[in-house]
Amino acid sequence: MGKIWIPGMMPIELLLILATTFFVFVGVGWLLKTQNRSIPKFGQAILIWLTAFVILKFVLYPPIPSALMKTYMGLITLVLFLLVSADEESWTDFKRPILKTLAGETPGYRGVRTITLVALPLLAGMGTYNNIVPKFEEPIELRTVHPAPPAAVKVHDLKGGDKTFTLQTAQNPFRVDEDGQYSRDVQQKHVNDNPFDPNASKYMQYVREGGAIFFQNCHFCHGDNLDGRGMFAFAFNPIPANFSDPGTIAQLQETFVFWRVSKGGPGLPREGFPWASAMPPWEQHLTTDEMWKAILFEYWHTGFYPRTWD
Amino acid sequence: MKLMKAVGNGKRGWSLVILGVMAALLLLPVVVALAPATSLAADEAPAQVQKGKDVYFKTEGIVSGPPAPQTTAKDYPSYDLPYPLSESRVIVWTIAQQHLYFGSFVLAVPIFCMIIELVGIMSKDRTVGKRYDDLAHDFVRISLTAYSVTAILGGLLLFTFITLYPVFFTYLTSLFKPFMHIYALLFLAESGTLYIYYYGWDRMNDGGFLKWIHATLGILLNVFGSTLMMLANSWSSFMMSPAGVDEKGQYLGNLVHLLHNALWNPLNVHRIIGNMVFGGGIVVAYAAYKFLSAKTEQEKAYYDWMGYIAMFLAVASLIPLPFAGYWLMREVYAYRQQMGITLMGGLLAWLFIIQAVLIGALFFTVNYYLFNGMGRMRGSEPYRKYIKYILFLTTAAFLVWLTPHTLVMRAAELKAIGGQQHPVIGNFGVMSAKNGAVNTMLMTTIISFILYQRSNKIIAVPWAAWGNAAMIGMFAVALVNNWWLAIMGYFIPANIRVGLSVPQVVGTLTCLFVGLAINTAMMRGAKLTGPIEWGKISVRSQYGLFALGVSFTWLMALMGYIRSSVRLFWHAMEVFRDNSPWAFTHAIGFAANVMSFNVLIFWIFTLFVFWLGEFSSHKTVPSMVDERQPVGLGRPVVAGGSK
Amino acid sequence: MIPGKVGLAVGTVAGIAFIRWATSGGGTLNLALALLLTAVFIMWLGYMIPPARMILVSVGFFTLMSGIFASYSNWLPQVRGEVPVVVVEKGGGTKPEDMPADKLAEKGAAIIFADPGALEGQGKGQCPLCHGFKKGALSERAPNLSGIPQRAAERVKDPRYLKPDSVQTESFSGSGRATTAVEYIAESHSCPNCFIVAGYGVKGSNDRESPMPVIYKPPIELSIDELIAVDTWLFYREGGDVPPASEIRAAYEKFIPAADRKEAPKVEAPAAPGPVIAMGTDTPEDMIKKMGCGACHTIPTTANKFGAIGPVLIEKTNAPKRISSPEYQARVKAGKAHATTPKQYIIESIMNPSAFIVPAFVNKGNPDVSIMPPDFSKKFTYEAVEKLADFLLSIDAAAASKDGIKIDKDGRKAAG
Repeated sequence: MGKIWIPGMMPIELLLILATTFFVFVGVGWLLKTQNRSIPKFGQAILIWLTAFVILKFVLYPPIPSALMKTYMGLITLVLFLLVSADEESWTDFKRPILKTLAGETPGYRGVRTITLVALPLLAGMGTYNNIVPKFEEPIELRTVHPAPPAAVKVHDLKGGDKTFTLQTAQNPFRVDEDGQYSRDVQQKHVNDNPFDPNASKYMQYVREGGAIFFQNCHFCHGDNLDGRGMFAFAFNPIPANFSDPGTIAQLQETFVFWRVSKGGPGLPREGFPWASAMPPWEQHLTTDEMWKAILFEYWHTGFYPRTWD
Repeated sequence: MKLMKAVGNGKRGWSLVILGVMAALLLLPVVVALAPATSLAADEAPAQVQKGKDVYFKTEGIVSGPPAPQTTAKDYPSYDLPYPLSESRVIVWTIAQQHLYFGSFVLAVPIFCMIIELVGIMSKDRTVGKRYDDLAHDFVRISLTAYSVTAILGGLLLFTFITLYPVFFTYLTSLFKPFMHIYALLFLAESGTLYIYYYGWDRMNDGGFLKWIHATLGILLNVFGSTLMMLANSWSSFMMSPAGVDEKGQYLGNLVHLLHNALWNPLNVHRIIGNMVFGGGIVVAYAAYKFLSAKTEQEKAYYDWMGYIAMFLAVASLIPLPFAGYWLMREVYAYRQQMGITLMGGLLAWLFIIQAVLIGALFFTVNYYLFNGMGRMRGSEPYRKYIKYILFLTTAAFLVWLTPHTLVMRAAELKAIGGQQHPVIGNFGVMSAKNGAVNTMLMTTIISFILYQRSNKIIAVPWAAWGNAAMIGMFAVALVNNWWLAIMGYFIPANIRVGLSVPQVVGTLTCLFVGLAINTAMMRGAKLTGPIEWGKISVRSQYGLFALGVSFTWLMALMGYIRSSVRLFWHAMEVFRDNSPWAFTHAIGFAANVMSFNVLIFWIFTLFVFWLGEFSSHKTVPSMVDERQPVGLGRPVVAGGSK
Repeated sequence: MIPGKVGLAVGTVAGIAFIRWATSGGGTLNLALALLLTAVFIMWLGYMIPPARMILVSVGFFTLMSGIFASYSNWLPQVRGEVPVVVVEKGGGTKPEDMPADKLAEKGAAIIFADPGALEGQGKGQCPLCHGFKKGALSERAPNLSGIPQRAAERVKDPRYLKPDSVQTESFSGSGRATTAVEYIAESHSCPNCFIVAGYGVKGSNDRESPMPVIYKPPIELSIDELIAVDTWLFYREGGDVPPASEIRAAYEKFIPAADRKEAPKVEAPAAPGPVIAMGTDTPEDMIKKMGCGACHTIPTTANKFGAIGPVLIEKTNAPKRISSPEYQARVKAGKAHATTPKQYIIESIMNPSAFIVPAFVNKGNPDVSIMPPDFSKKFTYEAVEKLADFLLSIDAAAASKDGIKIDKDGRKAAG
């Protein structure tokens, strides 16, 4: 079924991580209680805050925008305050180290007090400086990633002549079973087949040919793992599409992909920013059959199915 | 003594008759205005009659009014004050908001008084009964000054409309003139009833028939007050969803159609409930303030109790409020899809995120107050350990609740995410997640309340284990059902997903009603580990009550702004265009600033009103000691008593 | 107690000054932050003045909460809802029949989306509010309009269309029903209730009533010319044949009764907020009026006789003198000014006023910045600014004395 379990990328996984961390905390607290020890409330609060920060900033992938991070952490800070001050005993326990530091009861506390009272204004200064210093950020790009395709596309076939494909109804001529009939299930049947098997089915032969075309033309940008990390990938902005991401070819109809492959960047509508795309219009270099086979290979390799089948 | 009784008995019947005649006389104008209006118009000989089609009811009617005027910038006078007061609409906005705040308070107080007085009459414990009665009496005292302020603000608003929006106001009055007269005349009824209700309080407090008359006067006060509000609501709802006029704005002769426009009743219901919530919020803040400035233990106890009652009433009214709001939104959508879409997906969508933040703040405040409240009850220690679970669930739900669908991010962050939507967080921005989150927050708050109720009691019923099992099972099922539907909502088409909110809410409401019912049943005959020590609550919780008060106020300003600005550049939607230089819709930041100033102006006014109330207040607060002592305690109760 | 009171007084003054300084930049976010600062300040005052402590702390807390909400609201993305401008057609406007198909389609796209290139946004027609336009896009409120020409042709043959069951069967009495795709689309605009696509009717009406408004009536009120443009775009984007404008017009005239047909609105829009741009088609006097030059400059031969903040504009006489002046050469050397001809000098003065400031008009406190607004570069098309420069180059000192305008040696308008 293709790649489903991508680390850090699933909403359920995030909630499970949060829940697990919570129960780990509760468990540790319970263990300590059975031994008649406990972490002081102040320490608990700091620990919880830091854990939340680490999870939200480093475990959650891809990184969330800083505005959202600030909102989340602000909320968690407030909630921690509510937690420690929910009853008097807890509140007194929480305040104790702070009051002791402010009062400077022991040399140790006095030292901490000095450091804190020096560090706090410095931190405020750093924060203010950060806010004031002019930054050079690129303007927001409002490129439509999946622009609307036209109803029909006229593709120049290298073999000669132009062919018009109606994108609503056209089918990949190589997604066929042994009888040569278009089949939705053929990919699933041959998911684990070896493309180099001399007795491979028709479909697998086309996949192999498509693979050869891919590695002769496409992998330089789209990567040998079809993950958009080819050797030229980071020279471009936007970077080449990552086919192993569930948001690219998995979301699209095969004819849409064919339109993109044949017409390339210059064939994008205005909202797709045709001037920014480095995708060549392959109709100038490949025949339509070659393009279809390459697309067949991409789906087989990544394990995704084209959208028509949802 | 015997003579007095005889006279009293004889007068009983007469009092009823006089009361009835008064009420009938005062309501006469309403009857007169509504009945023969249409028949009078039909007597005219229709020589050159022009017909028009009602924009909402789609009925035909004879044009009997001027069309909505085509205004130009010259028709909108303004003052040469520093920005933003140079925009007349900001002046109208401020004064109208203040009038609405005080009006809402003045309408909420009689509802509370009605309920509290009733509870006082029906209490078996006379000390407790007297305490409730004195509380209701205190509330009315405050409302008298607030009533005057409301009237002053109403007059100010009227003058502002006449001077700064003359063309608009002329048009509106040409349509609503009979209703405006009734509105003004009803104030006679309202004032009369209010004065008798307040000044006759002690006189009528005979514990017998007169007290019931007094309670009825309270009900009458509410009737008049609600009628007043409903009349004024029709003007606001006409602006949002005109009816009774044709597409050019010409009146078609049917007063009922004019009054009963599409959003009239949803607005009425929403505002009645909202009044109670808002009024509760003000009393809560008042009680917190008095608590913090109290000098004796007695006072602290009394005001702590007052704060609890008010908070209870406010939150209880808060529960049906989202339903009323949902109905209002649905009617807006049904009237004009464009308005609905502007609200939820277009220009005004961010305002609902701010609303989400405020509501989350409310949930946390209520929970926090309950946690701190447990501190007044000896025996609550076993329940303290659940606080962290409740807080964790509420926080996780709130994080989901406040995540917007469109993330605010810089271009570099957008590239790192690889698109407009974050693969994980992006899922929290849609309705499916929001429904799951808000129901979770509701349920954790219900759990907090249940634990609070149990705090100082040892359950003695024989079926306690079963009861607990039932409640835990019910909550578990409701929570799992809620989360399951929230997750499933992502995988189904939109028109089915919309219907999923019903089972989620049903689960929540079941937990609320059934859970509280079971809990109350389990408390029967319970042994008290200690009385509720009113007054022994932390100062932080009182600041929490302040936060509750200001959140309610800010929320009301926000929702009112949304209601008003959904009209965009129209005075009356699609019938009467706004051509003033300030017809555009401000950005939310500007609106939030005006709202904040409105909130602060209101609270400073209110402080003044409370201060005035001090002059005629009791020198001593009612006693918190009950005649009936709680069972199982050896020593007398000092600063507390059972509710 | 004296140090305490002094501290209180100093703190109060300092606090108020700090808040004023911190918010001097203006803007609504600064105002919200001011609330926060004021809150802290009031609470501090409350702490310092015990008799008023309770009240001040309470007011301060309320201000703090309001300030937090206001700051959050100001931190979010700010969008202003502008009033749509009624576009005035200059002269009679070009008839659709005279426009080439692609220009007509572009006009149609502009009516739908405001921005002709995008498939997003909302123009005068307000169509995207309900209709999806991208192929495959979820369009739940109204049917997705990609591929509509094809579907329209099929619909007019649909038995459900031929036997309508909706609340209105004809656009007006005697109008008849649509027989071609073009007529179907025209009918949908004129009489949405005549046929409702299955599943898109008003809820509860069993697809017999449409939530779509009548497009040629208020509030949307597109004229027939505009509707023709819209329909042309619907055909054009599919890449197939585009019906001629006359055919579309005939279709609309079939469904809109003669009494309701109106020309494009000639109503002058009320002063609409939005950028004012000087276009090449404006006359120099128009441009001067639009840009408000007369507020600061006196310009002989025009009605602008009272501007006293900037130099009197007699550039035929002055511009050559200015370019050859030592101050200007110094600026050129410093790389700040670049004009070599009088016309270039005028254009530079408009587009970048701070490049060179006439010596008598230099602001002592801020010598490098001109009082003249710096954003005229965004308000002129190239054609317009050249035209204006040519006009200004025609005014000399003789013209000024003919108009009775006295100029002192600095170039300022002299009194009397």
